[in-house]
Amino acid sequence: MSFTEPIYPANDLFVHYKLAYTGSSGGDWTSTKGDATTAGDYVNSSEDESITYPGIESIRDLFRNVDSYRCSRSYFKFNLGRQRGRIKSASFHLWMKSIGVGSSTFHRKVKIAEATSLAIHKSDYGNIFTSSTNLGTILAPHVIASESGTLHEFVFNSDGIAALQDKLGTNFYIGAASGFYDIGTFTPTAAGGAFAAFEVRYKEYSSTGSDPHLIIEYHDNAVFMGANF
Amino acid sequence: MSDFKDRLLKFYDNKIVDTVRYTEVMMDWEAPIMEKSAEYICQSKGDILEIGFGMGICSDYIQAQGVNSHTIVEIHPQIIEKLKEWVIGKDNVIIVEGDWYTSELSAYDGIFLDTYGDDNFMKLKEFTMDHANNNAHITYWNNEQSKENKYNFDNISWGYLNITPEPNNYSKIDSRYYIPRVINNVIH
Repeated sequence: MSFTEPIYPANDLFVHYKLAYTGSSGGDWTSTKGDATTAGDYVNSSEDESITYPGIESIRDLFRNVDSYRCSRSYFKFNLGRQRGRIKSASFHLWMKSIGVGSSTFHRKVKIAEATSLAIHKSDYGNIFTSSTNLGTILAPHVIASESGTLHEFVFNSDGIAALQDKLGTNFYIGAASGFYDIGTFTPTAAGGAFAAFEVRYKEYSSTGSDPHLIIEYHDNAVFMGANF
Repeated sequence: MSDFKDRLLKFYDNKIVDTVRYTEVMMDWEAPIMEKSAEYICQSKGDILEIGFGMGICSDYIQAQGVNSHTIVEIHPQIIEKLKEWVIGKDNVIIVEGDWYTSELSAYDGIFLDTYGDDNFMKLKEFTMDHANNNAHITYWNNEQSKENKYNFDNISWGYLNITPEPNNYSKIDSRYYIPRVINNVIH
């Protein structure tokens, strides 16, 4: 077997977030999550926004004269232009710290899905959906983020490996979201209740030790060989 | 129940941040909004109520209007400290510490509601029934990019300002701020 060196994301990775207000024209949790065409606001992670904004969040709370839902997702772009071979396994590594509130570990659940290509624009908010509200391929089982913050590993499932295999030679996009609320069936409770929020570190965080990265393991001698190639 | 008053705030030159929710409480790009809001509520030069001190931006503009009295209600202990420094030498200011909706307050000629993490923020109209003088001018922080009469005031009109917000995590305001202009027409 051969493993790749860590594959780090391109510089143009962003946090995307969306606001909506209850009881007003802003809508509800479903409309906050949106669909493939929903635009949000975006933040360039190069400004170390993991400190200022939760990179992943699903919350309802009282903010500035509003009772508001807020949903944030983080997107990562990987250039796989030089990758070839038959993938045996793959994993995505992401530094996260849960800063949410809940009675169990459900609020600390994070899932990753294949995202559509980023335009580096507000319109990217819904890129976790392939069309309408159809999610991209769920790439790995959920991960329970720690409350102290560390690099976590998402081990790709068979669907994830297939999705990754399909993108070798081109770009691959990952969206990370709350696995309980956003990529889940639950709605954040009213102010003072449970919610999910995570600090996330990006490529520019300060040192490579906590950078997000992909590691791909290939079958030996699979490159450009065999009936599938 | 909001725990806002127990959360740690971080003060920067250009903003106050709620470090628990990673959300700005107030930012200095709002200054033009605060100026227009102060001008509106101070037209009578009478007794003015400001709910939420924040960075004190609106408070400065209210002071510049030369009003008879300026009552400021603030609930967050860290902001109250800032308020107590700010008030030195200002004889017409009355500080009320606590929740604006349950505090003992008088009746006013101008009211501005601009709170954060506030369980009672939707009770402004109800509050004005007891605390707004006839023809009082009332406005509130309008977080929408629209003319949304969220309190269902009967006598409301709108002004607007073109603005350029800095990146933030709390408002939907993009390029235009709609100023709610309410005139209280209830005679006590």
